[in-house]
Amino acid sequence: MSKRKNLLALIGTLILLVSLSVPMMQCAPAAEEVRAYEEYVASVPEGCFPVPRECYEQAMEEGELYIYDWVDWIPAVILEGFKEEFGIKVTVDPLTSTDDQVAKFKLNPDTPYDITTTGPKGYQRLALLNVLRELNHDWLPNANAFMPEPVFEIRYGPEHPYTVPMDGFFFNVYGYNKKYVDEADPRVGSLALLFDAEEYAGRITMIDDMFDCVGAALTYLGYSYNSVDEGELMEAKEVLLRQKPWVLAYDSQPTRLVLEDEAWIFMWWVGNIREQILEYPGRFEMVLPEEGAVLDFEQMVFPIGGKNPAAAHLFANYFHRPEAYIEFITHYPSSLVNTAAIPLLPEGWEDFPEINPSEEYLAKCEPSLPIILTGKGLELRAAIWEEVKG
Amino acid sequence: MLASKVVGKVPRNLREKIRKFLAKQPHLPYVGPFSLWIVLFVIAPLGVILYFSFLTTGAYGGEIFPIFTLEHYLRLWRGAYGIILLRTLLFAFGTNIVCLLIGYPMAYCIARRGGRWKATLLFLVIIPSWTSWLIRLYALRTIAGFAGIINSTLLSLGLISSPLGILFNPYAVMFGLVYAFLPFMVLPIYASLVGLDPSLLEASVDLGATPFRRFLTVTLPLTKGGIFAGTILVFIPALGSWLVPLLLGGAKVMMAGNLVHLQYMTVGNIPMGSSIAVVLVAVVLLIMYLSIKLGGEDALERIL
Repeated sequence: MSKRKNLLALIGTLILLVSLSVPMMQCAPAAEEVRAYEEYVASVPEGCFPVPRECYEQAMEEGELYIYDWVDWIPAVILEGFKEEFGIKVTVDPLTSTDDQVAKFKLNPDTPYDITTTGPKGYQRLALLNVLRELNHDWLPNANAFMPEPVFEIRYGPEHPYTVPMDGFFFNVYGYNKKYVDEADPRVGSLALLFDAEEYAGRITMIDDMFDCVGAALTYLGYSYNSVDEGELMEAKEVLLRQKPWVLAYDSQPTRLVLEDEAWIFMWWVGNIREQILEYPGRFEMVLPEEGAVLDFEQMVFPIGGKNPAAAHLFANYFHRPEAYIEFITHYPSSLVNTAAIPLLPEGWEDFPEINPSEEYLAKCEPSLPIILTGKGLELRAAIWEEVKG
Repeated sequence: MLASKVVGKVPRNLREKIRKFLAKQPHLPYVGPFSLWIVLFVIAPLGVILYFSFLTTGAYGGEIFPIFTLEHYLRLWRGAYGIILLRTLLFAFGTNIVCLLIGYPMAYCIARRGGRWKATLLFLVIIPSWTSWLIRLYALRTIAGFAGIINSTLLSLGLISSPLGILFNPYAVMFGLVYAFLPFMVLPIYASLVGLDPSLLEASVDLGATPFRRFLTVTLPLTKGGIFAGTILVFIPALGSWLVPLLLGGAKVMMAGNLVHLQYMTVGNIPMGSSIAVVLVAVVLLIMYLSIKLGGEDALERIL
């Protein structure tokens, strides 16, 4: 009798299991059909270009994307749009500092991110570590079409096979609080307001970055940001040591200090300053110093450890669609590297000097070079930084 | 056969030897896993760091050659590094003294005069350490800033005419360190005070000691276990602090932790960073040895 009961129980359980799993099987991804390549081509917005067939099909096979991205950098809108349109699962890991990023790849060259976003030095340091994958430019038609000419020479194209620039960025930039800084002061507009401003002692903040502080001092003295001359660097050290008692703090994100009127002159990132200017009109002003700034780029790079290169290319291509790109550039305003997005800028934005710099100012600017990241350039800067901070 | 009977208890092979050894260690099953953990997660990583500190670096701090060198240790005595290490020792020692000067009276009052409020007062001492460390530091920045609560209050009371720059300097760092580690000094001292036999104190009064004398000759020596336990719990973390100089010092005050971070991350000179870490660990071991030697068994108990 009990044997039969056991048998009945067994059969009942099997029926239950099967009936539960059948609906689950119907919900499986197989039901979400991958769009055919032709459909994708037809759905691409006007003026944009689709990726080639093999890129698209491989990306659909891969189905996943891992991005190592600055905190709150690529707007969620773009990521969501990408996910919805292509059905590719996107996972974003937050990145908080270039040093962390480089250390991660140094310790494990096969870190399996498909895309990581880097500042100019991050890119150069990662390239020196040989952890970057060469791009297939045929798979990036949007970027090819919309990238401005000057960028092709400096940071994109066959001679620079590792990067997809996202925006241009001025370094050595600072902002000031209009209530406490007299705009008639002749030092406004020059780096002298940072380095030669004893009256503002205790109200200046600097970015907590070795290359930027030393480089700003070099530019102030009239030398190149990329100098490796020992004499010039020693002079820069004197400038920094003289400035140190006047510096409130070395803080790369002095948001609270700026907003609470504690720091009146702040060296900061261009996008952040513009964000505060737009949010609090009339309180702050940004200065692109007349000695010249460093113009460099932030870019997406593809680490070799990434397992989904086609999906990464697809994303980079999607990113450079004007509608997606404009979401990005309005999030943290910086210089555009997408000519098709210029007509989509909000009212008045083309006049911002950092978005659309003039030819003569560009002539005064220089990019940062890898020479400061290795050997003598690095050692001298490290020695200076230790002495200034110590 | 006859020979073995005569020789008897001498172990014949390895298995015998191991069995005899284990028989003499009845505590091994209890301590064994723990010791294994210590070896894997404390001693082995320290060993790796020690190994790295003797390697040579190439031009770009990233290339490390397996060639034995003492250059990193020699560099420590030159230039800015020695000053940073000395400053770290000074800050840690100063934190220890200040915590002692503030913490001992606190513990004394709670222990001997607390009465029925003892538990509550102790609770109040412990509660702030339940909040996230980082949040407390940021809160200190807000309180002590130019526009913070302290300055606004003093300004509105008319006691000062312009805000005090109490943040982003070495004093702020010291304050942050004391603020962080005070509970760790109070609790062991409290524990040892509470364990004090009151009859001893009565005896000293009977023998004619003034309260001050009584404190010096009876209370203080008997609570030295608690003091040294507190020292271990305060000095050692203060030595390795990184966040407090960064946040409260405005990144202008460099302590050993910041230097290690600079070497590892920005400069990429892992052997140099490792050598600083090794020196710090050596100091820690020295302090622990001294504290336990001077504090005795009591100190060990109080730490736990």
